[in-house]
This record gives sequence, C-alpha cells and structure tokens, in this order.
Amino acid sequence: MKYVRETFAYLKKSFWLLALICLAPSVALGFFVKPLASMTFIPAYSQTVVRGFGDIFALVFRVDFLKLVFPAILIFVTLLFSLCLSLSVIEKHFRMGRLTFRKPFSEINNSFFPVLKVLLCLTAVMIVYSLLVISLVSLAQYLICGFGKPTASAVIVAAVISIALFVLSFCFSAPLMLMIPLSVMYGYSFSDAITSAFELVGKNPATAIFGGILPFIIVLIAEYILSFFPIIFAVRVIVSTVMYLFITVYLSAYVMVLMFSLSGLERRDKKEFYR
Amino acid sequence: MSFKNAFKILVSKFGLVWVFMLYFLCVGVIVAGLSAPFLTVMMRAIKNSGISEQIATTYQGILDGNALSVIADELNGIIGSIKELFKSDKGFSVSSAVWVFLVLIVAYRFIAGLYELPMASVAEGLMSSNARLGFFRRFVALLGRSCRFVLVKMIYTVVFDAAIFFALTSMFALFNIKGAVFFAPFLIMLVLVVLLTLRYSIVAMWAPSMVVDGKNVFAAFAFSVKKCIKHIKPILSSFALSLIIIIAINLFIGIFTLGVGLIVTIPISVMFINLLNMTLFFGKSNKRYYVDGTVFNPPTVADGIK
Repeated sequence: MKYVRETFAYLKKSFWLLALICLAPSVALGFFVKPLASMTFIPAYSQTVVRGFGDIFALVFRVDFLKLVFPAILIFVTLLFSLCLSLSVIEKHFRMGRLTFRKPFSEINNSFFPVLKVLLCLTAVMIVYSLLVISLVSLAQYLICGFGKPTASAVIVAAVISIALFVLSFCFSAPLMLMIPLSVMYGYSFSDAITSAFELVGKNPATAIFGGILPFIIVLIAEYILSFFPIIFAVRVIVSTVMYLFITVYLSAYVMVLMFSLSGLERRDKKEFYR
Repeated sequence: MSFKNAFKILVSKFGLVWVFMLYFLCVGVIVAGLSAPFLTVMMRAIKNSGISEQIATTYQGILDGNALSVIADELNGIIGSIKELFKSDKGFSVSSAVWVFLVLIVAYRFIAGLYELPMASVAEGLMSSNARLGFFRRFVALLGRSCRFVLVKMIYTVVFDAAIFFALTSMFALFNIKGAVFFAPFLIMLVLVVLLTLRYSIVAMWAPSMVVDGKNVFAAFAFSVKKCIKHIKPILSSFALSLIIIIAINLFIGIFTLGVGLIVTIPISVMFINLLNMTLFFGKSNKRYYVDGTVFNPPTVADGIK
C-alpha cells in the first residue's frame, strides 16, 4: 500500500493538471470502448445463449470493430501524446520540483519513442489477454455444461478465469510501464529497459503489481454496480470517461512514484527548492 | 559426478522449482487458449458420433477392474471409431489436423522451449559465481536469442520425436506375434529409453555453450555434438540413469496421487535435466563450479580420469 498512498498523496497536488492532459484520450476511450470489457462481460454472458466461440467474442469485442479503424487510431494517437506529456510533466516535477507545462512539444519529444513502443506492447498484451479469456471461457463452458445458456457454475468459472488472467497479464504489463521512465531518464535501449524494469518490479513484486491493479479493481466494482441499472448512452459515455480519466491519471503518477521509490531516487517535489 | 552435483544443486536451489511451476502454468494457459477453438469443434463431433459414450464405458470398465483383453478391445474400438469420424466428418478432420500441427507441434514447442536459455543463464549464475539471478529477468533479457534457439531446436526435436513415435508405434506389431507378446512391453520401454537418451545426449551442451561461451545457435549445436561424441560414455550413462529414474518417479507419483503429484514432479524433472546439461558442460569443459556454496573441481585427464 506504500506506493498507492504516495500516489494518492501526489495526485492531491497535481490531479487537475494531469486530468487536463489526459482528458482527450479518456473522452475518446469513454465514447468508443467499454471499460474492462474482458471482465465486465460476465453479467451479459450469464444471460446469453452461447452457440460457439463467436458469441463470447461478440461480448468482449465490439462486433463492428473492423469499422472502427479511425476511432482506434484516434484513441491510440491521443493516448500516445497525453501519456508523453503527463509522464514528462511528472518526471520533471519529481526531478526538479517544478510542476510546469510550458513547452509541450519539447515534453512530447523527450518521451515519444519509449511511450510509443510501450503502448504497442501493452496493446498486444491486452489483445492476447482478451483472446485468451474468450477461448478459455468458451472451452470451460463446453466442458461444464455444453453450449447454450451458461449454468451458474460456468458463470463463476468464467469470472475466475477472466480475473485470474487479468492479474497474470498485469504481471507483464506493470514492468512494461516502468520501461518508459527507465528509457527517458537513463536513456536505456528497449532490451536494457525491459530487463531493468523486471529487475525493479522483482524487488517488491506483490506490492508493485497490487498498486497497479488497484484502479482497475475500483473501476470493476463501479462497472458491476452500474450493470444493474439501465442507463442512457450519454450517461454511459460520461461515466466511462471519468473511469478512464481516473485510470490514466492514476497509472501515470503510479509508474513514476514506483520508479523513484524502487530506484531510491530523491523526489524534489516533496521539498520546496524553487520560490 | 555430474549426476550427483546436478541433484545437489537441484536440492539446494529448490525455490527455482516454484518459479518453473509458474512458467509452466502460463504456458498451459496460453496453449489451452490456443487449443479452445479447435477442441470445442472436435469434442462436439466426438459427442455427436457417440464416441464419448464408448470412452465413458471403457473408463467405467477400468474402474470396475475389467480384464486387460476387454479394455484393449474397447480401446481398439474407440480408435476405429475415431478413424471413421476422421474420414466422414470434414470439420473434425480439419480441426484435429490444424490443432496437432499448429498448437501441439509448433506453438507448444515454441512457447515451452523458451525457458531453456534463461534456465541455463540462472544455472550459470549459481554455478560460476554462486549468484542468484531472477528467472523472469533473464527470460526477458534473452528472449531474442531464445526465439532463434527454439526455432532451430524445433527442427531437431520434431524430427527426433517423429522418429521415436514411428519406432514405437511400429513396435506395437510385436503384440500380434505369438511368443513376442511377453517381451513386447520390455522391448518397447527399452527402445524408448535408448532413443530418449540419444535425443537428450546429443543436445546436452547446446544451451549451456550458447549462454556460457556466448556461441551462436549453429556453433553451439556443433560444439554439443562434438562433445557428445568425445565423451559419449559418461554422457549417455548419465542421461540413461536420469531418464529411467525420471520416468519411474513420474509414473509412480502420477498413479498414486491421481496425477496431482505431477504438478511438482514435472518441473523438478525438467529442471534436473537442465542442471545435468550444465554440470556435464562445466565438467567436460574442465571449468570449476559452485555446488551448494562450495567449489567443485572437475577431475581431469591428469588426475587419471577420462
């Protein structure tokens, strides 16, 4: 909980600036993507008559996702630039003690390629994770009760599979995210950064991974509660935007807090160096 | 000596077995996920054709203690029905062929084989400097080399395993020859152990020489083959003994714990084989190494030992 406490303490100081930076991708994500669809599909799954692999695929991915090429590009590009900005702003704040947003292009230039590589890797991990969930849930249902409407035990097994696989995928995602500050601050190459990231997370793996999963737990609980209420599309978009905003802002700050804490680096934002 | 030292290192660094278990769990999840679309089609076809009832009857017969001849007849019946299904159901034949080729032969071997170089690197840390390196850190650091290594090694293992498979299946014909029936199980197991010993001996120093000496994939393979030919007696005897013990322990524990014990014994067996590769490599290269905190000097020709 140490890193989580430090992250929330930091967000108290700088949440609004980071929220402003991360607003564009959060709106894009909230409009086009259901938060944590690979875990929140369970209530809909329990009501679906499953005839095969494709029916569960349709619950996790939007069936018309092939038509959504431009929104996908929009999400990726906005997320890329926002993460570059937010991570550079936080890094500068931690190293110099100043929370500034004066030269956005210079900030983007500092971390563009590390963020791009990590974002591509994270997208690949998330797609593989979602496909594995779909495959294993369809296999488990066939073994438990055959295709058709899933029984209660099949739904429970599906929930366990999706959550367990999410935790497993986050064990790979957490070190990937740490690669950004390692590449930006030390100038590590991709392979050096990934090795050092695993080494850093290995110092305190359970705490580091739990801290990263925490916002997803909060969003998951909120999504499950909301799934019991019929809500209109506009409200759905606003709620999703808020959730994505929370996840992106929290994770940006958390990655930097984790990096500075695990590396034992001094954080100058905690002291007043400049007046 | 290599066998004894590999066992000592295994016992002294037993914590690595749990890391291995986690790795094999991840491999299992990925392979199950890849298999699911094919398995559901295959299982549906098996259920519709009534073969699942034949399997259930045979299993019930085994539990009831039916005679071996009855069980063998029932198993033959199941194999015949599957052959029929293969001919009559196109969906089943395509799914099973794609599953065997893409998932079992290519994907499984590739993903599961990625552990070998990191494992050798962790063992090198233990043996050359008594240092504990993280398995997953080494896994990530060596991923590129591991991919190249596994792709080349797959050619060797697929060819060798196919040869073992065809040798053993053709030996089942011995059961139809009067008089040979009594010796057939003995001969089949003997051939299996001999072929597996050869399979493991030839490539014993492949991964260690890539990690320790930094050789490329083909140079390391050539080095391993040369060393195997040069030291054929100790290498073959170490692997023959190890494989007999591994098969016996896995069968014994697997049967008497209804399969649960295999969760632990399989990672132990895999780790032991890799440690044996390392101790053989260090021993035959006359390199000193740590065994449980103390330095071991391999005996040389000057000591009167070949």
